[in-house]
Amino acid sequence: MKIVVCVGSNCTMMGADSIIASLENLKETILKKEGVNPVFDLDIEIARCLGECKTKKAVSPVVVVDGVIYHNASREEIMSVVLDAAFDDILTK
Amino acid sequence: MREFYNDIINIRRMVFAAIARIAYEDDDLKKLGDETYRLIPGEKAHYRENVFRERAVIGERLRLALGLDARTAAETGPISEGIENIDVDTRVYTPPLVSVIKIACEACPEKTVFVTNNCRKCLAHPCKNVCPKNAVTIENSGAVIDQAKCIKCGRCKTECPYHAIVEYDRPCAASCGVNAIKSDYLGRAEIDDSKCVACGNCIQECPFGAISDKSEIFQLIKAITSGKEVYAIIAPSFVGQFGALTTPEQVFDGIRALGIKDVVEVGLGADLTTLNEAKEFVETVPEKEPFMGTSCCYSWKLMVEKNFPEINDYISESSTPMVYTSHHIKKSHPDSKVVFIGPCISKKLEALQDHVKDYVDFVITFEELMGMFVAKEIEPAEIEVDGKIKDASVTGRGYAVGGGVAQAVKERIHEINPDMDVKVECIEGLAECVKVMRLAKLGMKNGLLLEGMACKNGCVGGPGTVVSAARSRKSVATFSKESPYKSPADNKNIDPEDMPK
Repeated sequence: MKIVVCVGSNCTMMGADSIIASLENLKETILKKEGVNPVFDLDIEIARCLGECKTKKAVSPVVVVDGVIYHNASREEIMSVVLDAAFDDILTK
Repeated sequence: MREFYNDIINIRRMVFAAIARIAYEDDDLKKLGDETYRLIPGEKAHYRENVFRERAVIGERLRLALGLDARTAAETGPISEGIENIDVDTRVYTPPLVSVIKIACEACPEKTVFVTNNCRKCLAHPCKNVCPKNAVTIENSGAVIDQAKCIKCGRCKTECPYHAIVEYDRPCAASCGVNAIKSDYLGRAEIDDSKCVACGNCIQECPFGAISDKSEIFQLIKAITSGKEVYAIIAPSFVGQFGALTTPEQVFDGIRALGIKDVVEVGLGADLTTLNEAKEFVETVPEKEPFMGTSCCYSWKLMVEKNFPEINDYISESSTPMVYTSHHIKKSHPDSKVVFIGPCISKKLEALQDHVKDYVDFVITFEELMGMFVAKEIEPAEIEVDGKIKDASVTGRGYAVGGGVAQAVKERIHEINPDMDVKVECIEGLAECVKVMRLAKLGMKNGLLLEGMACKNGCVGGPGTVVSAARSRKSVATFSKESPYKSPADNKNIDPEDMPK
């Protein structure tokens, strides 16, 4: 799974760094636990301003999960998307 | 920054960005009320019980960000009341710096020990048996604590096998190291200004976002747009605050893009503080003074001054890095204005002092600077830069992190006198600082170099930071190693005549 976190000015102001921190923490804790597919790979990428906030109002922070854009992303929303995928991965393999 | 208080942090920052935008675009301040609708649109509440109160609270936040006093629900008139007094391009705010937004305060009860419904009304009832004031009785409902008798020792809480007894304190008061938070006639928090040292802990800790400081961004931007020559000095903890991909050099260029003439690291002044404090320590401890406390954290300094006047003389006489750095700028640019940008709130108070106010014209936080970047749509990470910043030494940059000041002074003392074995103690958090100074007063810290920091983790844990202390600590360490000057004595930027003799 590839997650792109925008760290432009708007997104940084609205908490992009704490989303990155939560995802990194997830990678080191829950995703290492038993029951999670060990081959599930979480790739966290940080990106310069993706330009979303320049065309739309009040959308920061912006996070892209496997190509799907999340506006006003919260850490709980993104973490749950990751964990749902991490557990689904087992069921399908 | 309290990492998991997202909504509160975001509201605060949105207000800074809004005020910065108003200032840059020269909007009519009389229409300040409209801004509350822009920030809280629609008719559904997001944060509180209704949208009216949300707008009222954000209105008071806008006032504080403009440098005005927050009002209570009893005051009439538009929120732009008094606006003509702050629509200027010089420092204008007056103390109190930190105040409770009364209409946002939920009047949380004061400290109590009480029994929850986990109580099984057990036969052993150790809660009753350990109470030294005989305040616990076993009623039909379970254990009951007579609040008039209770001295909040917490013994019953410790003994209960069902964890049924909790000790509760309002977060603002619990976080205050100097007991400055009392209650008003409606049970809401009230800050005792004679005790407050403006550390900003309560601002970070209130889960309702009901405490705030005043800001000077509006007047700063007016100074910039009116054509004044403004220089910025930026505290060592700035590294990594403005976007995970933004380099320190890009932060400097971003600040210049705001209309600021030039930027200098406060680490330069930190080097002078190190040189002076090391010299002072070698000359005074232990012969003339039993110990020495560092001088760079203003809340710590103010706490000692207010609570321990008898040992106040043992705090170093050296100036703070902010003061040395602004001297450095005003020396070559006497007609310029200086803005200090830092993680700290108490610096706003320090800048009002008689010996500082002519050198430091404005103080803003990293969060407020972030608001300015957003208002001007500046993306520091996208700026092309060349060259490296070379204002401060390795240890001057290290001031940002708890223990960094003492480390810098210790290393410098070792350079002066390699045989001198300096013992240091680093204290983080205002409450801890108070405890240690009580011991120091009794002579139990003699011979030591005491580093006092009102914030946990030091400056990187300050109330005006944008990212968590853990993240910025790493960035600070990397940047620190990049300095070309190993010792503050090697710093080529310091005018030789400013070096301590």
